[in-house]
Order: sequence, then structure tokens, then C-alpha cells
Amino acid sequence: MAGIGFELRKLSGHDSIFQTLASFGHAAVVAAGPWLFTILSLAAITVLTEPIAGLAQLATFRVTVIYAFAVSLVAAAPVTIVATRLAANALWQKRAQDIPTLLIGALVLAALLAGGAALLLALSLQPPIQVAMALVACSVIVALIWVALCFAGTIRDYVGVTMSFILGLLCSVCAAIVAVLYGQQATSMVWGFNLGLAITFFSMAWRVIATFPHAVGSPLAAVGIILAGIRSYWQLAAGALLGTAGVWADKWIFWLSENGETTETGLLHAPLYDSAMFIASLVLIPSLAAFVVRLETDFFDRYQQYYATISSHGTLGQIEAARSRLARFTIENFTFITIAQVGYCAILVLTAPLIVEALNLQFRQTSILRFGGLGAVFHFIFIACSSMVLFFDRRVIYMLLQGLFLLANAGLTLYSLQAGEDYYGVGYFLACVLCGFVAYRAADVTFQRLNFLTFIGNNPSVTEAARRKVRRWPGR
Amino acid sequence: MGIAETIRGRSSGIRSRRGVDARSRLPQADVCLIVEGCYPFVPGGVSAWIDWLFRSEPDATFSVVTLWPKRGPLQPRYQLPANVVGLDLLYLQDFGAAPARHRSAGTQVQRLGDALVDFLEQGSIERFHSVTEQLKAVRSTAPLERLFNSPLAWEVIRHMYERMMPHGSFLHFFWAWRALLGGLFATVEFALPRASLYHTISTGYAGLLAARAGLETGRPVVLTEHGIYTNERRIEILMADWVADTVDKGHNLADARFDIRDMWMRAFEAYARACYGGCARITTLYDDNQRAQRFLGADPARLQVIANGIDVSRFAEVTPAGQGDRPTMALIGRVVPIKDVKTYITTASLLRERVPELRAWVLGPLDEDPGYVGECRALVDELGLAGCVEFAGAVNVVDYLSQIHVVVLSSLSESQPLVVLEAGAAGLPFVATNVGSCREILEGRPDEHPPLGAGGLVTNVVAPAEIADAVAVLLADATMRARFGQSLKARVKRYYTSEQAAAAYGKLYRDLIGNSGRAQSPSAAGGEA
Repeated sequence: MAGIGFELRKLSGHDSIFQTLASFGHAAVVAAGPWLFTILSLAAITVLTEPIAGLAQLATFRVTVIYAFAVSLVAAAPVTIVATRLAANALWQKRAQDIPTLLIGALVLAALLAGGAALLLALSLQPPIQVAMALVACSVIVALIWVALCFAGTIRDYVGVTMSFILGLLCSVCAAIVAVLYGQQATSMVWGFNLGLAITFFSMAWRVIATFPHAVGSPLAAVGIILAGIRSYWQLAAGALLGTAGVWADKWIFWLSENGETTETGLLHAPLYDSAMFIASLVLIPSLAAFVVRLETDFFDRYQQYYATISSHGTLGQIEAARSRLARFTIENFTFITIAQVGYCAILVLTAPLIVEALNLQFRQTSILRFGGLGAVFHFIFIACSSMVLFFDRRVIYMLLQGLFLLANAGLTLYSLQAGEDYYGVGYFLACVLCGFVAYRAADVTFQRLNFLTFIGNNPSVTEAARRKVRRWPGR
Repeated sequence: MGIAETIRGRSSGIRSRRGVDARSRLPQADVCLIVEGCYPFVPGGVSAWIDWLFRSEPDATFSVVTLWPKRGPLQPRYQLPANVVGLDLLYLQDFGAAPARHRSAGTQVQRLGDALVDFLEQGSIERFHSVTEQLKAVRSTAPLERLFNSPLAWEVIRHMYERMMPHGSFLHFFWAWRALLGGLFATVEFALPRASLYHTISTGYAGLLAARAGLETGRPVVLTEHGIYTNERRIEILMADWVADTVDKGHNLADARFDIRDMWMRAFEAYARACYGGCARITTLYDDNQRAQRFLGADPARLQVIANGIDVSRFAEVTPAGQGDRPTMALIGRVVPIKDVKTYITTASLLRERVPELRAWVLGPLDEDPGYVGECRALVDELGLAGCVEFAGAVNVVDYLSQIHVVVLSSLSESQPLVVLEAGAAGLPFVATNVGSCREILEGRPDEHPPLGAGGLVTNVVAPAEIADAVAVLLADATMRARFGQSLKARVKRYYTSEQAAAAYGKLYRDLIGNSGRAQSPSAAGGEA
């Protein structure tokens, strides 16, 4: 018979619509967590050891740790975000046995990148060898923590994460204090701090490995898998790199400006700006925590309901209703958390002089603290909306948002530097305002166009379909 | 150098030659043959017929458009004859490219959506023309392939869903829409090769492309249907377990709500209606097929039967088995479920009770469906037919014919089986189920003059007792066998020779192309010539 050569059956084999369910929107939030942890632990150690260690030693210690965190966060970010995505895919495809291999690959690659970057930094700044060694070690351990943290997030082990951090934090603080008591050197404090970090890492990694007790392939092959993943999800890798660099951009610029100071060991920092901004960032913690809780519970339920409506052959009317519920719920909760964030910010702004006094900061840091707090409101909006964009797998948009944040934070911080001391912190604040609004718009458009994106715009089996090809074979 | 290398060698220099401008430099063929899912990549069946057509019309030049699902390794199974000047591949399911940033006006969406709904629900050449005009309008903003993945397409899908089945599964509707209309858009977007006449070998997408060729060029369009494409799709869709029934109609037969199955079937019917409406001549292999064609709106005045023919000289030397030879019947064909070989084996079992010496041959390839072959062999063992039923595999049938008394066809479905003609050319009587054109070949068409008499017996399908009775009668009566054999031989010589079929197609082409080569399709509704 004259045949339809194409197999009708195959046309029904499309389930790629639901690939985005292998979501990892929490990655955007989780990435912010360690940065806050840095601030918390440094604050604790500073307060507890200042009477014994002295300001100069503390400055060296603090700056070394900040360098390690900055370097490892930026250098390992592409690896962690891609590995998180691959792990989410593996879990969605019910291939739990792949998780340990992905973990090992990501750990090796992240350690190499962070260690390499720290080494380059040490070579260029040429601090004493003890400081350089402590810096490289700290960078490597912190990179390992980022990776383990993202895997723990993938399995929703937030209790484990929290416990590991608290345990590590306590050990860090204790070890640093012991180091101060016996060694009285900044590098000893860093090594003590490293010990606590290592405990955090092993605790989290152990929990992940205990969850997936499967055999691991060769580390080289595992690294190959991660590298292949970076090629596939290059927008994620680039987005994470730009985003983490964006978080540090204003600090780096201040370090390199006339406000920059050099520690005894030759490391640059800008205590005037850094300490105020780090404290301001702390107001992000309650909002991000509330957001994660909402994400993991109510939002995720509605998110799954939306896809379940589609897969259980709902009508377009039912799908639209589910989309509308998801969008409305998200906006409402988001608004609620943002209002709370505004409240924290108001408290910070109003009590800034008191905080400055209580923490022995300089009076001129008050306005930086206030701008930092105001910026944090919009920074929360930016992080939360970036997370929404990731939840719906809009990778290019995510990358562009992070790129915008880097550019805006760097550009506006440079501008505010030129405008004078009264405007320190305004750059970060304006960058957060701009990027917060843009990210909100991106998330809003994503929700409005969710049906189109789910079925066509973001559906891999549609977007990756090859172009129709016509080959012509002329006769003789 | 084999055909694959030849084609690869040819393709290397011409990949960039796409689109109408490139085509205008290529030689214009007399006939553009449009085929779906067969020539030159699938051997046998319609492909063999197409190969025959090329060789039967050596003075005509052909180009071929092969519609294929999607890209993949393809191994040509036929050497292109010298009179085939070009071969195009059109992929139906690879449609869709990076989305256009096209935002359409609501009226544009509504007009296109309405045109598509009207076409899918009712189908006709005029409605198809309306669809192509609407597509032409939106294509002015971006290529269809990019629009197919754009918000415009999404709005059209929504609009059509709300009109066609707002109560049904949107997920299924969406994929059905993508599959059905992706193919339709691909045929509308395809750059047509130039030709004096377009000849499609089925309805479906090939038929749509031919209808479009007629509309756009004004050249005549011919359809040759071997089996009825729409019927084949209908059976396939009704039996498909991947099509979900999403509308619970209970026992209410009057519930006219549309479901996905209806959508698939209606679409193929609509395609057929457009093709029939666009064709100057609609040929098929036998009368009975025309009922289905008329049912889907084919104009009776354009219908014509051109039977397939065979080379009767191949069988001239065959002498039928004598009464003293071991009583033998044979089923000649592939061992696949559609041939219902199990009924044939059961027939042998029943027949052996009356004819203990019976030999029942199965002459045909065993490699297409090994599972079914295994079941058949198990049935032979179960019925104790070892030594009676023999599977000979793929053999040269001519070598066996002179040992056969009766040829049997137990098929569930056929169009015009060549095996009946070949047995007839050898003067053998035939017992066949009432499928395809078997009755027409064995008993003659009503307008046969003078009547040549019966060439065999016709039975129902899946009726082993009935087949056994018919074969028993013929085995017992040498005179009847001889009479049937001679009648069938005479009928094959009169109506079913290769030369007659070739002459009929030659005349068809000459009539339509004429001397100018610019004959007008009766339903050409517009487009540039």
C-alpha cells in the first residue's frame, strides 16, 4: 500500500514538557546562604576574639577568610549550579545511582578551580607563604562546601544543612579562639577556622552519600560528566559566574579604590565599606529563609499541581486556572515576604546609629549601612525572582539577569565612588533597585506566558527540533 | 558504485541549492511523482510499482518528492533510472525552527484559526486554498517554520482548541495539532519542483502537496491510490492505544463532542477531500476502491480504474500439476498476520481429513515477523501437520507452480494482489478470500464482455471450513481446475498485462499534459502559473 512511512505512535511519546519539573530554583537561594554564613561566622569570631587577638591580627584573619570565600564562591559557581541541575535531572529520571558520581566530579572540579584561582591571587598579591597556604586551603574547603550544600539542597535536606553549618560554625569559632590563645597569629586562626569548615563539609557530604550509597565511577570520568554538563547548560554556568561576581563587584571596587587598605600581609580590603555592607546584608536572612520555606511547601505543591493538570489531560481552561492559582499565590506570598523585608529594613535604617555605636563602627559608616539595608530589600526581590526564572528553566533570562546585576553593581558603584563619601553604598542600592525591578518583570512575564512557555517556548522537544531539511539529488 | 554512494556523491554538490530560485535552474520534469514513506527507501509494494512506472515510460522524465517522517540514516533500495531527473526529500515531522518574535493581531489569529478549523472539519480544495492563502499572509512576516514555534502559533492552537474540543485533553490536542499541522505547514512551505504534471500515489500529505501544486501552478494533478489511504489511517487510529479517549460519552451515541481520535481521522479525511478536489484524474486498481473515493467527495467523472499488470511471458512455460501428482495447495506470500497464515494452516488440517496425501506449501519470506512465524510453526505441530504443511521461505515461485493444483490466498486485507495474476498467468485455479480486488479478478468485472467465466472460488475471511470446501472441490475435479485456470489465464491476458497498464498511464499523461505541456487542472483555484 502507499504508506505513511511515519509512525503515528511516536508522536505521542512527548513528555519533555515536564522536564522543568526537575527544578532547582532553590539553587539561587541556596547560593546566597553561604555568603550570609560567611558574614555570620566572621562577625561571631570578630566579636569573641577581638579582646585577645588585637585589631591587626583580626583584620588579616578576616580579610584572608573573605578572600577565600569570594574566590571560591565565584570560581566554583559554574560547577555548583550545573552539578545541581544534573543532580536534579538524575533524580527526576529516577537515576539516583548517578548522584555520588556527580558529587565527586563536582567536588574535584570545584576544588581545582577554587584552589587554582586562590593560587593565582596569592601569586599576584604575594602575601607571606603561610597566609597564601591558609588562603588556598580555605578556598578549596569553602568550594567543597558550596558543592555539598547544593547537593544537600537537591535532596531537600535543609535540617542537615542547618545542623552542619551550626556544628561547623561552633567548631570554627572555638578553633579560632583556641588558635588565638595558643598561636596568636592570623594564619593560625584561619587554620582553626578551616577546621570548622572542614567539619561542615564532611557532615554535609556524609549526609548526601548516606542518602545515595551507590558506587562511584573514576573521578576523571566524573569530571568529564560535569564538563559536558557545563557545555550543555552553559547559560547556567555563565549566569552563576556573573551572579556571584555581581555580589562581590562593589566590594572589589572599593578594595581597589582609594578607600582600600592593605593588611600586614599585603591583602587589600576596605573596612569602611565592607563591615557596614556585611552587616546590612544580614537583614536578608529572615526573608530568604521565609522564601525557601514557602518555595518548598506551598509553592512547590501548586507548581506540581500545574504540571499534573496538564499531564492528567486537563482542559485548557483547567490548565489556565492552575497557572493563575500558581501565579496569584506566588505574587501574594512574595509581596508578603517583601513587606516583612521592608520592615526589617526600616528597623535597620532607623537604628543604624545605634548599631554603629554597638559594633564600634565609624559614624560615617551609618549612611553606608542604611543604603545597604535599603538595597537588601531589592536584592531579596532580585534573588527571589531569579529563583522563579530558574524554576521555569529560563536559563538565558537567568544569565542575562545575573549579567545585568554585575554590570549595574560595578558601574553604579564606580559612579557612587566618584560622587563622594556621602554616596558610598548608593551604587549597590541603585543596582539592586534596577535589577530587582527587571527581575520582577522577568518573573511576572514568565508567569503570564507560562502556558506558551511550557508547551512551546521552553519545551525542549519543540525548541530543539531540527529544521526541516530538504536535500536535492539531481539526476544524471 | 552502489546507489547510496551515487546519491551521496550527487548530494555533495547541491546542498545549497534550495528554494525556488535554485529549482528554476534544474531541469523541469514531465511528471513530478509525490510519494509518502516508500520509494526509494522501502522495497516491494508501492515502491516496486513506482520503479515499474519509471521503466514503463522511458520517454517521459520524472522527478520524485519523497515525504518522510524525519531525518535519519536512509538507504536507497532502488537505482534511479536515467529518466528520473531529481529526487527531493520532504521531512514532515522536523518542522519548526527558532521562534519568530512575531506578535500577531487578534484578527490574523482568528482568520488563520478559522480557516484551519473549517478545513480540518470539512475538508475541500476550496478550504485548503483558503488555508494556503491565510498562511501566505502570515508568512509575509516570517518563515512558517519560525512562526510554527512562535506565540502566533500558540494563539492559533488556543483558538482552534476552543472551537474544536474545549472539553478534551489539551495535551493530546496540542501534540495532535503539532503533528497534523506541522506536516501540513511543511507541505505548504516546501519549494515545489517544476513539472508539467503532478502525480501523487496517495492522499494524506502527499495528496496535499499535489493539491497545492495544482493550485499554485495550474498544472494537472493525478492521484493513483493502491489502497485507500484514509481507510488505512482510520484503522490505525481506531486501534491505536496511544490515543487517549478523553471525552467520556458513556452510552450516548448522540453525543457529538469531538475527541482526539475524531480529530486525527477527520484531518486525514479532510486531506483526502482536498486531494480529490484538486485532481484532474483519480485512478485506482479496482472498482471497489471507488466507493470510498466517492464517499469522500471524489467526482465520479474523474474516477478511473487502471489495474496493475504483470509480465505474463514469465509464466508461459508453466504446466499445471496433473491428477496423478501429490495433491498440493499453496499460499504464496509473506508469513505475516495480514495474510492470516493461521487460517491457512487450519484449512490444511480440515482438508487433510478428506485428502490424506495433501501437501500445503507456504511459499514466501519468513523474516518479516519472526514471532508470527513461530506461532504458525507451533500451530503446525499442535495440529500434527508436520509433513503436510511446509514453509519453503523466499523462493522463485515459477519453479514450484507446476507442482501446485490450487493456489490459496487467506488474507485479511489486500488491494490488488499480484499473486492472483501470476497464478492466473500460469493457468492455475485460485481460492481467495473476498478482499481487495480478488473477486473482480476471479469472477470478472460486471462489464466484462464477452464473459470469460470464473477463474476460482471466493470465500469469506477467517473461514477455514469454507476455504477447505472450496479447495477440496477443486482438488477432486481436474476438469473444473482446468476450466478455472484457462478462464483466469484469459482474463489476465486481456486486462492485467504490464503492457496494458503502461499504455494506460502513458495515455493518461499524454491526455493531461497535451502538446503544450500546460494543461489546466479543472479545479485550479488560483496561484501563479
